[in-house]
Amino acid sequence: MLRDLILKSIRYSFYCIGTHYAIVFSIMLYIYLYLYRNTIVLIITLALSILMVIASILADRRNIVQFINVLNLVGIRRRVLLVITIVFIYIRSLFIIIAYSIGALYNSIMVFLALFTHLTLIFILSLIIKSGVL
Amino acid sequence: MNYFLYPYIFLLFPILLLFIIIILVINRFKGYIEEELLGEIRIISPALKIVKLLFSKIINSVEIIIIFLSIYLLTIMASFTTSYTYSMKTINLDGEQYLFDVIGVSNTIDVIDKIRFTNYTITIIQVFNTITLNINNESLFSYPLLIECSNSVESISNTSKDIEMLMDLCKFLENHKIILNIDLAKLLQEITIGNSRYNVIGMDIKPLLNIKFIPSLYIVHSIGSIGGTAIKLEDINKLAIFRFSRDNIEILCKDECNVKIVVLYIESKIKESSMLNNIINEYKNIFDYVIVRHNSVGTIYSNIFVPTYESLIGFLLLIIISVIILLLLSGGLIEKLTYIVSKLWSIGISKELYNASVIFTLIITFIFAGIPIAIGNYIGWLNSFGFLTYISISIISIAILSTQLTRRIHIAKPPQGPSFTYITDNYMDVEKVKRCLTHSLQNDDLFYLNESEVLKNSKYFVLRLEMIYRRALSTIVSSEIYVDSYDNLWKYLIDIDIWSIEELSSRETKYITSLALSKIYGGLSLCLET
Repeated sequence: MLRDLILKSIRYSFYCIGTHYAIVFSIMLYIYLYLYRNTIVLIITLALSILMVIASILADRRNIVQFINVLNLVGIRRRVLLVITIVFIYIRSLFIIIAYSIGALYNSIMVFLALFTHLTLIFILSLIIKSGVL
Repeated sequence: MNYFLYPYIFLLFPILLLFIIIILVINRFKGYIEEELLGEIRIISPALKIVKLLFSKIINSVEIIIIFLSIYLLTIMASFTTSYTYSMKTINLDGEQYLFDVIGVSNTIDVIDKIRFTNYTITIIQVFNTITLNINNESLFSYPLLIECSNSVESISNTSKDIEMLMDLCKFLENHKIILNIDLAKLLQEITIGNSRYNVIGMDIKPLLNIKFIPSLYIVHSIGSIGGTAIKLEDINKLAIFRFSRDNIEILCKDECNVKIVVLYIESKIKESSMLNNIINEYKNIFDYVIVRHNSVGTIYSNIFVPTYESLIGFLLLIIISVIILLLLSGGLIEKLTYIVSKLWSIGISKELYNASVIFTLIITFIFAGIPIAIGNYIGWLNSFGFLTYISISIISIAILSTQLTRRIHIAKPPQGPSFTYITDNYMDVEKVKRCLTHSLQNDDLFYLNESEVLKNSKYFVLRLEMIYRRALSTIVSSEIYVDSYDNLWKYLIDIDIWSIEELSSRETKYITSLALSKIYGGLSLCLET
């Protein structure tokens, strides 16, 4: 059942407009990281990608709230809900992560650091959203 | 790793601080607009109040904070990633005399401190401040030309006649000596400029008039060309040649100095390509523009920087990123403003006024937010390309947000029709109803009760109220309330008619009518039910 729910949350996340914009953003991010390979650009893109994920969540706020409410109504456990929320949020940052990963091939070790920071911050963000909705 | 030490990143903190201060100030005055009592009829449009309201609502939203944080980050990024190149142009010098290998041209006198007089250079300074020569009690204005040749320039052989002439001039020129055209020199032995005296040397300097380095750049005073014709000094008697020295510069340029400095570099017989490259690079940093000659092709390098293609691609990417973020967040912003839009709609604000207010609010918001960027640009933390990026993103943001925010007005519910029937079993004398309604409309903020009367008929009463709409110049709303009775029930039919000398659109008329109707209905129901 958990697998089904996760798959559904992935599919639902792809339907949301925020994910579509996040994909476009990740393409731009990749080109930018390819063009400019210095630390300050990396730091700014990191901050920008976090803002982008927040913006995409705000754009899909209603969808997310509805989704979590539906899951609550069917009586899902809190831990499962957390996992699904994290999956839902991570899907929209997935392409950004891919952009960082490809960027790591051209750039220095700093890209990995940026990637790790991005993943951690998104995880914290997921927790905040889950607790906020609940 | 050195980039960590760069001060640009610290720009973020003052920006955040400014933002927080603005939010605190806005919060302090929150609700001020709604609480303010409206005065008498004024010509002042309520647009500014709407702007205030919208500004306070927009600036308080998390969406706009994220938008501005993103724009600031994009601006900083644009500032960082920009690289410039010299603007470059090639000209055909086929058939022109080979007078130089490199020329540096500048229009500021300060350049003379920076010039490192290397071998094989000739410095020419065209001073546009005139000097006065007194000949037989007549005054003749002359333009000074200062020349200096480096010592080793004499070792250059196989140069053109023109260069040899310049070298001859250099030989004759000494301190306190001036070269004039031979005809003029016959009339003058000595001239005095300020407190300095100069001995006059006469030479045939007429060929100087036609020496040109490139089209429109002559050895004598020239200020460019119009329609292919060079504007230059045409009378050789108006040319006075001095030796280039600081003393002479001080004498000739007392208050302000309007000059053109031309430094010629002539390559020696032994071709030293590294030397030539060094000279080109050095001149590029000093002069307004540098001309390098390679056989019959001249290349003009201007110190006007132009962004590289890479920077332009980066700029385009930043614009796309900003559009993505704007499109994502505008929805949330609209949701927050829908409530206000509905309220504005219900009090009769027209769509045009609302659109103008939204655009004006956004412009003000972006101007305020641009202040830290402008300061950063002024003190050198951000470059002008970053500032340009901010302006471009601001214009796009205003366009996108205003389109999104104004489109929403179509969703607002249309107001109700111009007549209404109210039936009640509570009886009240029509005179009392009139008094009660008059009292309820007395201090109304939208309508001023101008006239009220009761018309009696054998079958029914008519209560007539004439009100002036306060937010317009001369819009009068006339309402007639027909009072009739059936058995124990009382029927009040409210009919509204509107009259105005202003050109009100049908939509505006409809709003004002609905507004008047709701006011009278509210007043009537309150009078009859309480």
